[in-house]
Amino acid sequence: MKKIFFLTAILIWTVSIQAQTKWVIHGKIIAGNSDTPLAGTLIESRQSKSNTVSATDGSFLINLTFTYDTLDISHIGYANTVIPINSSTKSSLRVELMQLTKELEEVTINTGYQRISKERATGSFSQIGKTLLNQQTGTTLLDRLESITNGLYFDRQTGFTGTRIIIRGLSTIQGPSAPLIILDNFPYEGDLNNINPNDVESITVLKDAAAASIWGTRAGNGVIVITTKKGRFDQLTKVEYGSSILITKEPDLGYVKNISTEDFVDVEHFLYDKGFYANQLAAQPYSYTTPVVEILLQRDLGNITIDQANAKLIAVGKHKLTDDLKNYVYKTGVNYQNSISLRGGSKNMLWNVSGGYDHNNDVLNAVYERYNFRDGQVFKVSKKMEVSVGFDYTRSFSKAGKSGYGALRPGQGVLPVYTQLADENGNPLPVNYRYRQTYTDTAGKGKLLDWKWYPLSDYKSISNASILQAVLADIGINYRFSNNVVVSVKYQYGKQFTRTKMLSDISSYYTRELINQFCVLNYATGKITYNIPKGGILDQSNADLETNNLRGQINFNRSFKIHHIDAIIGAEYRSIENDYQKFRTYGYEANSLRYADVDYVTMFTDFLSGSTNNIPSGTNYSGISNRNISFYANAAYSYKSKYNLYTSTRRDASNLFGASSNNKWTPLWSVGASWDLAKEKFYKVKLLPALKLRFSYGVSGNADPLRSAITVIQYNATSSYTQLPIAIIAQFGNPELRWEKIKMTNMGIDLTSKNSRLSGSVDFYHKKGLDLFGTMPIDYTGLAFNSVVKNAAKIAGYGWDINLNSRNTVGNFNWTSQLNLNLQKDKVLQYYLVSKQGSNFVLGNSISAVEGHPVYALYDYKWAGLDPLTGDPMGYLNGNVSKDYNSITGSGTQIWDLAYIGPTLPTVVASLGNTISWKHISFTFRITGKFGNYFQRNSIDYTTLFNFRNGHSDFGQRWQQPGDELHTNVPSMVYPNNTQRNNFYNASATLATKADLIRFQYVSLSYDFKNPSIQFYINANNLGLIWKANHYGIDPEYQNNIPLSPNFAFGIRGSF
Amino acid sequence: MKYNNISLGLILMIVLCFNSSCKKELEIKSDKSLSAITTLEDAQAVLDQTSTTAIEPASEECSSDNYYLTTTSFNALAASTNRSIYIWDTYNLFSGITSDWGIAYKKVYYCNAVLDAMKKIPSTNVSEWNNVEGQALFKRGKSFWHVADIWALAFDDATADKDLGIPLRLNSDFNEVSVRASVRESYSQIIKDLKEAAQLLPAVPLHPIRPSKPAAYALLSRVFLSMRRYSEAKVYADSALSIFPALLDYNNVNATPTYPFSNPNVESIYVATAGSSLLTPTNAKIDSNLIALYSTNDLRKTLFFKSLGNNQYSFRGSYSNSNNHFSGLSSSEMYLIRAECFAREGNKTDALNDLNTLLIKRYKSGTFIPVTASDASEALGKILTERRKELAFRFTRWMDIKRLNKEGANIFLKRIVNVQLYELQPNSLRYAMAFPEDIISISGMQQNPR
Repeated sequence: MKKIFFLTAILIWTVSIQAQTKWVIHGKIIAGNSDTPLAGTLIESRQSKSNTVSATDGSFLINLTFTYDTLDISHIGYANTVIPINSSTKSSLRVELMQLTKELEEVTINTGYQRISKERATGSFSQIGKTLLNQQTGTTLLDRLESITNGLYFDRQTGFTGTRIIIRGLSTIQGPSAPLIILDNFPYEGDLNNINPNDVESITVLKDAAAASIWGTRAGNGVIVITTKKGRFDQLTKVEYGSSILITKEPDLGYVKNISTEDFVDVEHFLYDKGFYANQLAAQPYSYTTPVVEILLQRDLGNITIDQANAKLIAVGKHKLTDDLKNYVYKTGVNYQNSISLRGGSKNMLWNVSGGYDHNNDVLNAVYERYNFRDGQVFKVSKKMEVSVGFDYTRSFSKAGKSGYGALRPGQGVLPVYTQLADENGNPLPVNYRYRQTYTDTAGKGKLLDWKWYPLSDYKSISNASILQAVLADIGINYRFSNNVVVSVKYQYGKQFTRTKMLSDISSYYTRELINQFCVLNYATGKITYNIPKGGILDQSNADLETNNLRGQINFNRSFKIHHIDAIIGAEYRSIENDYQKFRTYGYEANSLRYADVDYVTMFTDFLSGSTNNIPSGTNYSGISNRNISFYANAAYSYKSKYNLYTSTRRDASNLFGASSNNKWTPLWSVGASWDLAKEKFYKVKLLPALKLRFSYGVSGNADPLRSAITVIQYNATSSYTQLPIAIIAQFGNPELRWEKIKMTNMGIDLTSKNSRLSGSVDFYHKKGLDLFGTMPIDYTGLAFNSVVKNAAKIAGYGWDINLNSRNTVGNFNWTSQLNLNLQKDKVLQYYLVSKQGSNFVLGNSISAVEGHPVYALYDYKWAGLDPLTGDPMGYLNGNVSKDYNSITGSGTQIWDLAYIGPTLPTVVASLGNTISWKHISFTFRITGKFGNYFQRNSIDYTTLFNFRNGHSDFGQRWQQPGDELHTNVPSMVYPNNTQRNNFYNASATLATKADLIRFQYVSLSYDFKNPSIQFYINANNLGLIWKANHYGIDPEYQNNIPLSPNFAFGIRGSF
Repeated sequence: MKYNNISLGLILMIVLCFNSSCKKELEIKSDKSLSAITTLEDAQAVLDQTSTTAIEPASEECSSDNYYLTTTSFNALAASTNRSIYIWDTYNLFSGITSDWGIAYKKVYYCNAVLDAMKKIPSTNVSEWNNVEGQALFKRGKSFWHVADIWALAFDDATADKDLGIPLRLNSDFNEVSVRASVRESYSQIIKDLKEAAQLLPAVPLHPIRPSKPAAYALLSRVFLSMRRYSEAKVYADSALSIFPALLDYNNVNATPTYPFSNPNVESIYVATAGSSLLTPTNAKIDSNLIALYSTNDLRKTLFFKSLGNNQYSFRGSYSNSNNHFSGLSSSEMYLIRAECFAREGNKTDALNDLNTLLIKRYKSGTFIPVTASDASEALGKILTERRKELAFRFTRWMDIKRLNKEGANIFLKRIVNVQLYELQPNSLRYAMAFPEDIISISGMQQNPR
């Protein structure tokens, strides 16, 4: 429809009205293009300052005191409408409001099993529509959720590699760290990157106890339901398209807090003089050396003079590895994204078809290419039967790029910070990798393959590419037995193949080295025998995933008079098959398809070390089969559309090892109630025309997925002695472990203020965790593992999830804000385990053992400063200042001897988005903040500095002479190295740091044309920190990694 | 009502369908490479995981006097626990599952897991069942013995009931609290395990990486020797040699490779290895008193040692063919034990006979002059010297020092690092090394008195 609004009433006669005369306009608000009345619409007069809200049947009545007036009519999800009133206005109006987006904005909550009308919902959900999702750009979907989803938190801090998604605080650190992802109706097992964000209509996050009682124990970390775009019956064909370019800046290598190059040269020089490298150089002259050690060695061998050596050392110290990486490795990344989707529907059929193409070239030149195709139809076969089919195909291609910062790890450690990767002309330079080049250059008397490693160009000799193809096909039948009963059967088949081919050709370092290591050189005759043939090494792997989902469900719904019942009962069968094979071919030549067999059985002598080894076969097989069978039921009852009750329950069984305990577990359940207060006759609060109260309570459980009732072995290799299969003990029986139980109560209010100026929800939740899992060190006298999962604690927590949307100005200049505010606090009520040695609790990686403290709390060794005479760090032992590091970091410190710093997870997470639109221009920006938590700052660890060349810039601030202790807390460098001294310092309270931060998440600017609707947009993501509490230049969420680089997107999207 | 019946019927149908196939589906293995230990093959595969079951603690050799570190090497050691071990420190010698304690008890756990599972595996194939059971008992017994050798004082019949022994874990339930048995109980368990194993094991194993009857006899012989119960030591050495008499003639060993001895070789009754960064050829320099014992014609001087110049030598004679050391059992050790026991019985002739049987294989062809002695006690002295030479870096020196000091040998151990002298007095309490502090803290066991 072209018009934003129109009046069906036509002026018929003029009524002459005197000023002061009251007159009444009445009318009806209708959703555009239909006869559906719109209740709860706000009607305001500008002159008369009166207002009203439309009733259930859409009718309204407003008193005016001015003849010439203007009515502002507003309803969430619909375009604001302005109606001029004058003496010729008919007193009975019919107002059609047009939906804001032409699609119906999601007013139902999709749990994956059923859609619950939001009005009847009793639980706690976060919903994200596509408009909000589209404020960010990118290939993957999940990244976009962080800043816009209420109650969803991406944890990058607490000692986990990568990111884990936490919904409503943390109950446990066991179990799968990712939340359960539901794509339309079924859990999605494939690669999340396969999902095209442009196909997504909305996302629902289930937050309260209902998540687990609907989806089972796998929902322990919350449920994210993704709903894709679908056609509708009786809809004209609609086309949507989009295209964007996203440019990613190269990472800021300057962020890395590395020891300075000059300092590192000095450290190596110091170690060399102490004889740190002497034995190794004497006994294993082939072993890895750094350039500095090599210079000093050549000096001592008399090959260069002392002056020459010193000059060389100075020259080495002038070079920075990060400069070379910046100049020769990283470049700007460019991603292209194109998508098109069509959908429509006739009376008996609806359909949608969409396609997408992505091409990404990242900062390291890695390529990712993705094709998406999606198709769905629903047929009304008869009045009683509906059949739906869907098909989804993804093909992606990825190719590895260069090795970035930290990925180049020679000789058990990192590249020295002064490593030079290229000469002045940019030509790649060789760098020592596993062995010492000056040795390997001459070891083979020129008979070996070149044994030099060129980190800058080696990637050119390795082609590592994989192709993924994924198919999802589903069919569903809904059969309406009666007006009340619908039986539905849904089946989905999924298959994903990943084929990976990595060819390390003869020019790659890996291949050259392996061939050299396994060759035999007869020094007398000069004859060389290759046990690994000269040629490339081809590693191929296949990963197959197959899923089957079958669900039978009976839906019952019945309305009679003022009662409404909605119930489902169903059963579900799921199977997941993972198969993986990997194999290797030696002597492979891509041009001729030549290959060679090698002897995997005989042990050969290593060319350099003389030890004997088998040729690595590179063969690996694995297979995982999961079977899940579940029964579930839920029911909603509504009385007068005012009072709603909801209950759900579920029981799962699976074939996981030791999961027989599942059967003993009482079903997961939840109950809820809501009360639409605004619908009560006595409710007269004009300020809040809509007000609903919600309550839910439920019990969910969590089993340790690695838990096993019996000792489980895993065949992992073939014995080189007997040539028979050998097995390790992979899991051990842990019969004392009980289920972890979480009881959650949720209370919420949904409200809308007068004029819909302010709308949103406030949820308060309380949770109680019993028998929480904790990984505890154990007496490894009795087990081949040093820690086990035990039921460690009883906890309680509460929190607030606040979501507020405000319309700050209305009219041509439209300013809206959206605020997500999540507060959470928890504490340990009781700690069960006996061992409370301090070293188990420092750095905040395990459940706190102190009652009343947060579940995950940062503890540190108490800090007594530096010894003014030696620069040694000092702590406390039995209350006295001490340098007995063994005892402090060992049995001498109990948890109560530690300094309690504070929680490691933020107690306040906030996100504020603002959208300002004026005519066709719309501008959005969003900032996020995380507050109240602490992290342990990294500092110099001499153990890793000496042994792995990994030094922190704090080295420059270390204590060097008496008096330094007045302005530094960084301990002096001592030799021989004392590991416990380093462990103490790095876990001491002097490094505890506040983690509070405010981040500029994204900004987006768009220009909209109407008829046809086209939008041009620019947005920028990952814009960095606006403010942080620490003064060390550390982004607390990226202490160990380089923060995500900003990216900028330009794009167009439109529809007709 | 009609519809309700239909839906009820449907529900029933679904439930029934699921129930019938449910059980079968839920019994499918979740990870194809995982299984419980339900067959003899499974149990054997666990015991054949030699990276766990044939890797042994190295602290005995690390604390012995066959080698020394330069101050530079000492200071360059990455782990401070290794520095503590080297100077026989009182505390903080071991920490965590990768320490010798972890290595020893991980093996015990593997054996216990197998032994627990064996109770449910039918013994239809009796010889194979016995073989697997015997292997587990042998490996557990051997591991217990190393633990007793490292963390308990030498066996002394007079005090064995009250001397602190080791925790004897006899099943795989890790929830049981570790308690220390007495030294006598500890040794009784070791002997019990090994005697049972000897009953069950075959005379010839598939490969010497697997325990066998002669291996059990050989270890019993070594254990009784460490307890100074010489007559039993002799009986078991004799039993071992009756099955496994072969010796390797060092004249046939090629000295060119970095590591001259193949693994296994004809003397390997049972193959196991142990390593420590203290013992790598890089760090460990051979004690000059030890080197001086080898004469020029002694092939061991070149096959065992590599000259580094400056009168420094490193060890290369491991039967493991690598820089890890051989901690298994060999026929040569049995000849030495039997010879010693004969000498202790006063039987000079048989003692020297055994010794010379061995030594002729160690000297350049045509140069060997058989050892003679005026009496059994002189023979004993020569046998003990030869024992030290032959079994260098074979993890027996520590038990020899312990037991011989009990007999008044008065062997003082000395280390000099950073211009400081460290000494270990004969029969010092520090011959029972300190338990790992984390184990003491978690289990509440009593620490060895210092």
